[in-house]
Amino acid sequence: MRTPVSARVGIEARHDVGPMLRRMLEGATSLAGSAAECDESALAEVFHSFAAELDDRAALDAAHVRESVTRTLPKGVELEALKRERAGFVVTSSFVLRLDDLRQLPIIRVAFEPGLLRQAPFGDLRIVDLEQAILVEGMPPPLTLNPEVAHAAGAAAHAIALTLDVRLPLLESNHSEVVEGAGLCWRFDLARLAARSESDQSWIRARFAAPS
Amino acid sequence: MEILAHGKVARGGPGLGRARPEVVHEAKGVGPASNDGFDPAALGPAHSASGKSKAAVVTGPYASLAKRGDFSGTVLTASGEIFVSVRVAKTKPGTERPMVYLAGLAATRDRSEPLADKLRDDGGKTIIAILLEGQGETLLRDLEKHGGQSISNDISDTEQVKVVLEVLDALGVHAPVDILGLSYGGAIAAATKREAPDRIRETLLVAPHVRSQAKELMGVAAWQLANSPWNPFGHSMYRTAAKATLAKAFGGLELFKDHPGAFSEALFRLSMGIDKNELADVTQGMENLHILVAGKDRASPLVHNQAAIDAADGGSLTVAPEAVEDEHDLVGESPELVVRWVTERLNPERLEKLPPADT
Repeated sequence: MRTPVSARVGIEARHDVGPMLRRMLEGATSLAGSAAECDESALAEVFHSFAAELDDRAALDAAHVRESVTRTLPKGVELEALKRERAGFVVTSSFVLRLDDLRQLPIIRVAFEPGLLRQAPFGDLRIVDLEQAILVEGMPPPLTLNPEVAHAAGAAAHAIALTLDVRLPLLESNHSEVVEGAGLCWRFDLARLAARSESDQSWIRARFAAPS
Repeated sequence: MEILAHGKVARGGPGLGRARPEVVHEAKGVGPASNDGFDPAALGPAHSASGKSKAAVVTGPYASLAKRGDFSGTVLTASGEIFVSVRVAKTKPGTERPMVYLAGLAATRDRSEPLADKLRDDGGKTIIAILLEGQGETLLRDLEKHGGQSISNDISDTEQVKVVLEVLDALGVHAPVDILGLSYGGAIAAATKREAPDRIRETLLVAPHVRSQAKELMGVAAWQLANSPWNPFGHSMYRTAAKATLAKAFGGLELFKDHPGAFSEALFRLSMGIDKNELADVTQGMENLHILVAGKDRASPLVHNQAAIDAADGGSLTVAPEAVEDEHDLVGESPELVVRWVTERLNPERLEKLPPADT
């Protein structure tokens, strides 16, 4: 199948920064050789300062990221949306890329920060171009949450969650595949696919048939 | 102290290679407080010059520095005005190889001079304590003259190395020196040896910065956040979190009371400037490297210090006594211990003259 299959790929990362701020405060206190307590009041103060600066910098950070991403994307791929929202300790970041052709998916590398090596947000994917279908197979981006952090936090609210959506406008009904691990949530919304998870819960294979 | 491990055999290790041609260095008009009217005395009294009366007879590769005697003040360099405290050895000042001392992240004159004094008085050393860009009185001067230009961006280790070398040049010190660094200063000391191996003989690190605080100390969650390939704002979130936590942990300093926010901004810029550094990468193949660390120091874990020594080509790793096993700031906690360790590594023949360490 040689017809371009336009696609939209979105990734949403949701972070509860509470546990991270606590650990960072403990670390910085240790570095300072300070006897200061890392109690709830200290954490609240740090959070207040963190949140105020993060909110103040929202537009600046978005412009910075947009510039970096745009510079690194290949032809035929555009940054369609970029967003950061904060609700208390939970910060949700998302971006959506529009692809002229799904076949570009495995080669996309995005750099969010100038000067850094290009990153691979879509993992190790391979596309097999069959006569009547496209087969996408491979590994989603590996994200392993430190079990100690997850355990210490003791609740899902303190875990990192990440959502991956893939939508193919040429194809028909949506299908959802949710894979959950310790503190890690994947959701694949793929159109008219044959999706299945195997033993490690992170292997995906999606079959995109040509529209009838 | 327990010497946990020796690295490969050090070439030109402690106590070796001190014989130098006796030459007289004349002061050429470059030196301390050669500035645009800034009065170093305004920052406080300098210590008395120990070698003044002997200036005419001081000889040796470090005579130029020794003849100036002790002082505390700014040195004009290409990087700007850098605050320096020099303490000159009382015995053979022209031939005693000086030691550069770089203190930790929140270094100030008050925090770095007591060790310099002790290393001179008890250890018989000549010390050049440098407050780097973004630190203490050097930062204060920059704030007063340039509005804090030095902290408008992250300050990299290579920029700080440049400062160290420029200070040595300004002081007329061209023969090799030793270098001692605590925590953040340890990272810069190691980088200085890497960048200018001909200028540095022995490298001594006390609880050095070993790797990214996000990676090591602040939790894997922070590291993932900073480097997550799926979060476009991960890096900025991490930096914002680092700034907030550093500011809270270190608090404020009276020195910067007229410059609100400057101290925490400096801590942030200094930390981020070396955040991606790994000590073991810097010490690869390094000769004459010595590290002192507390066994349970969370900010400078033993395992990464061991890796730094393993990567080096000669040196030693010393674990501090149990009494200070949790301490990161070994200089502040037990300067006697640090002086003893420095003496053990560099001048073991002087050990018997040292006062006993509390620990």
